Amino acid sequence: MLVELEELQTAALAELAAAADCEAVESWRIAYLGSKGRLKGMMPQLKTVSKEDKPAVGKRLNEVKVALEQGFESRKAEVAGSGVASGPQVDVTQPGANLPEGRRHVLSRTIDEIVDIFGRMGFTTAEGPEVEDEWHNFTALNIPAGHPARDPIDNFFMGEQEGSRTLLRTQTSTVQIRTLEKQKPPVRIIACGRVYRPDTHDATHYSMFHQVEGLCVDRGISMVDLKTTLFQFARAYFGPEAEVRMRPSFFPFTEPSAEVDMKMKIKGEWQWIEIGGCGMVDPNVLEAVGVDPEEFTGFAFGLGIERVAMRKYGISDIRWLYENDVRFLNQF
Amino acid sequence: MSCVKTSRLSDGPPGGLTGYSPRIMRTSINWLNDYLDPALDAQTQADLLTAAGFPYDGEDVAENGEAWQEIETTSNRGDCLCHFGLAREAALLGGSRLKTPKVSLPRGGPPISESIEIRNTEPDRCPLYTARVIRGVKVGPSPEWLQRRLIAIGLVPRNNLVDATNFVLFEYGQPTHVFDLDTLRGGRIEIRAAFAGESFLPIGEGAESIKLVPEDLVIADAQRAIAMAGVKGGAETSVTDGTTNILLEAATFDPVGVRNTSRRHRIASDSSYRFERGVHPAEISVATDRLASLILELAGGELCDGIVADGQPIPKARSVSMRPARCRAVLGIDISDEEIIRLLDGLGFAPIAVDDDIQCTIPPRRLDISREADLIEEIARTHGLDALPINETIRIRAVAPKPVDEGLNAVREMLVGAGFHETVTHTLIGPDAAAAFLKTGHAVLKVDDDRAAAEPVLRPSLVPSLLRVAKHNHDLGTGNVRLFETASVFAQCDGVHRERRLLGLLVDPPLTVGSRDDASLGQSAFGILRTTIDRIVRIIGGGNVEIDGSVAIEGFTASGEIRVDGRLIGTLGVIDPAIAQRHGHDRPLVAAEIELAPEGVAEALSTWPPESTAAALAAFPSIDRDLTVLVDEPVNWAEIEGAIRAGTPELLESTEFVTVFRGAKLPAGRKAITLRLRFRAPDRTLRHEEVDPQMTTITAILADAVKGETRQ
Repeated sequence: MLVELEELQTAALAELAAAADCEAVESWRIAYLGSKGRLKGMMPQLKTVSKEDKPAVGKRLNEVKVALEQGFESRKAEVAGSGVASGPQVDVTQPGANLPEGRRHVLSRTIDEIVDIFGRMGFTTAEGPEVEDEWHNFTALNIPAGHPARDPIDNFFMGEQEGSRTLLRTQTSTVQIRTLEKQKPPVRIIACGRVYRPDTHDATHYSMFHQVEGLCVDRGISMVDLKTTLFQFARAYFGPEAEVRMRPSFFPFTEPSAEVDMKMKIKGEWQWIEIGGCGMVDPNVLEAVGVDPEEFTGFAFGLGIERVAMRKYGISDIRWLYENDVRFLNQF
Repeated sequence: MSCVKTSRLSDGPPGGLTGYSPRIMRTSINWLNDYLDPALDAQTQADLLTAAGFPYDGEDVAENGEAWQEIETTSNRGDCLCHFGLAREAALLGGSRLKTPKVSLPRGGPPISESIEIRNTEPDRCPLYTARVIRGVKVGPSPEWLQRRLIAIGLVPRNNLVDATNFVLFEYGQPTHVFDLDTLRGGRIEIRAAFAGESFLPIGEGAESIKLVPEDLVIADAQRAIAMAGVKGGAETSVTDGTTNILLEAATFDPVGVRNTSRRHRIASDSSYRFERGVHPAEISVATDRLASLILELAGGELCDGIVADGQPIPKARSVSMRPARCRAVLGIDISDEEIIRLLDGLGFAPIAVDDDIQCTIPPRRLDISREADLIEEIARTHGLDALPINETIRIRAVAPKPVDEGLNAVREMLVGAGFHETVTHTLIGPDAAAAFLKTGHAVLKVDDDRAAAEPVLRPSLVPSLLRVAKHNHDLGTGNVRLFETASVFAQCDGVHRERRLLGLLVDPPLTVGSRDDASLGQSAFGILRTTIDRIVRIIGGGNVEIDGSVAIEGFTASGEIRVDGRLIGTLGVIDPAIAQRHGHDRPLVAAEIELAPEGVAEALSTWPPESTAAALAAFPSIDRDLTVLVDEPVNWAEIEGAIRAGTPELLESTEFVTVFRGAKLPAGRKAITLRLRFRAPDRTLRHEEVDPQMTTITAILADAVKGETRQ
């Protein structure tokens, strides 16, 4: 019987080595190791072996069994790894299933990106209401009664609230006042949100848009700090070749005032883009909120989010931003 | 035609702090060079003016071949709404010499007092009114040189008299007017308030007579209004081809009064625009001399001797001082006293150093200079903002991100992952759309502006806007959307205005669902919405979410309040089909609004992220039992789940909704709800014999509380 075992092992292992795929290996297992396999088939012979030979034959039988099992496992692993298909038939080239896909709005994403960078520069976010009174939208911002900026043509006025006319804020600069009323300098805030001006809607005008407003009030703040802050922002946001330039301008609540242009990359080319306004906080504004302009100075800036997003992503019609066609939103 | 117009923001959409009435002015390259020695090419003019704060905005060539540029001017610099004013700025920065136009006025004519007298009864609204008289003019076309200048900036030449006034307006920025002297009645000019209902016919083709109000200031003769002060002359006294004797008006008016009259009657002119920016009385004489000289040159005639004038004494020139140290501190640059004085001198401010101050005498044209800060701005402007250095580093104080920002962002990112698109929609909507979602007892806020036209209401809810976006997407082929927006809503309650910040969610019913009836479509959409709300609550800080379905919410049919551990955080529901239909929807849509501020989840967000502590996990297996309970249609899930929870079987860990079945096999008005009950003991492996009595208890609770027939 020892001889037969020897022959079985040799034949089995040779056959196993020839089994080329999972199927063949499985058939081999059934043929040799299965419950009706050839190894099991030799069991009855064991009874015929003499008593003294039994331990040796039994041991040998076990060794053969282990050898075949090990051979099976290793051969199985080999053919599985050989890339020959096995298991469930899946067409890996079929298109994917319809997982619902959402998207942040390009404007709110742009706001987040900008706020994030200013956050790293030590600015904290601040908010204010969208319905404002004339004090916060005009008077405290050095826009006295009778100033053209108060013209009803340029503002969405509403009825009166506690004796003061209210309106939809025309600029996020109102948050400067709201913040300085509550908090004494040093103040370094960034405020973003919706502002409103009655404009007829067309490709470049909309009666609502978004601003990011920055304010920094402390001892010894200068216009060089303002320019440096905007420059560092430009480099962080638009890349290492970005630049900043300022042109003199006029806003009632800053003096000196300037328009800010930033050089950003559009379709691979660096271009100057008008991005917003800035300036040193007007002493009248600081006085309006009880901050001594002799002790503290500050700068403020306001960036147009739509302008940044439209130029950055080549959006040629501002109205697309508010239509919210998901095919449009999915582009960003 | 006006050649001063609103900035059209040619560079793109609005942004920044702009919007303070920047105006585009068209300038002729040659005209500007009339005052510059040496002359400057177009590019240099544009560069210098941009650097001075008057940015170049475009260029072209007029029909007569004259090159022009468009220059943006700011509302504080009325003195630069003219060629001489801009030339002064270009000369200052470019180093050209400024050439003043030559004026020659013959003397010895008959005294003007024989022709006219002036009574100014409103010196506050008209600080100075002056008149000259020229007799025997010959009206005719202007010479070619003058027509060239006017056509270059887009004006249409009329005749030598009108052209002369337009020329002086865009040379010196001083509006003037020419009356036909022989049409004036009573030999008198009066500056007075209009009479109530006084009628006035302005100059202009197709102009109609208007009714004035006492707030309007008029120029009148002895009988009637002949001009709306600073805004428009009258048709009855304007010059014609046959005019021979003329009265030249040069005056200044209160900017606010001019603006009010202009707005009130919807009549604007280049003159009214200029007066709205302020004209100093001391500036008048130069312009009126120039106008008289020009008319004598163009139309001949004899100048009457003298000027008649009435008004207030001309104010003394303002004196403003500046501390050079303050200037250096504000700008952050080390600019010397000498350089500061040099720059101020160039501006014509006659600077004198006195101790630590520099004292300046401000020319009357510079109405914008009254404080030290104004002088510092002039130094920044003329020294050049390009010359401000940029530092390598900035000083900062480290600050932590705000919890509310971080928390909200976590919610937004989760929503995006769950297939929601974020929208940004207008705050203003139509009255009908708003009314449908307005809470009982609340009133909407509305803007006055008639240009908001059909959509003047500040929305009291985000849902109408989301419905509109859904409709837009459906129409364009995206049949199934999930939308969210974070924005403020507005309403008045008891006369007090409340602004709340909301997170609005809208879910379309799925497009593929076995049964097509509205109830199951609505329920499917609702399932998505409810899971979304549960996830939002988990991100914000967790807690037990309960829907109080007994509360009716305006705009919804099935609806409820969302409560977390008893605190009201928002509302949700199925949009009223009638309202949905008005928005163009024929399928059931579901929506929710969660209040982010000032109440709702504001407190949870303010301490985001929520505190977490690890809890030991259940160590022993649970036993799940499904139970179907047959109940009447009105019985809702919250009642069933609440009843079981209130009965608190001790080993019950959770009660889960599995499905609901309605159909012909059930008695009418009944539905079968299947729920999955999970039992677990903390200290041992539970045996089925232990669960059986618990199931009996629950069966009894359901029979008692909701008349439920149970089948296991």
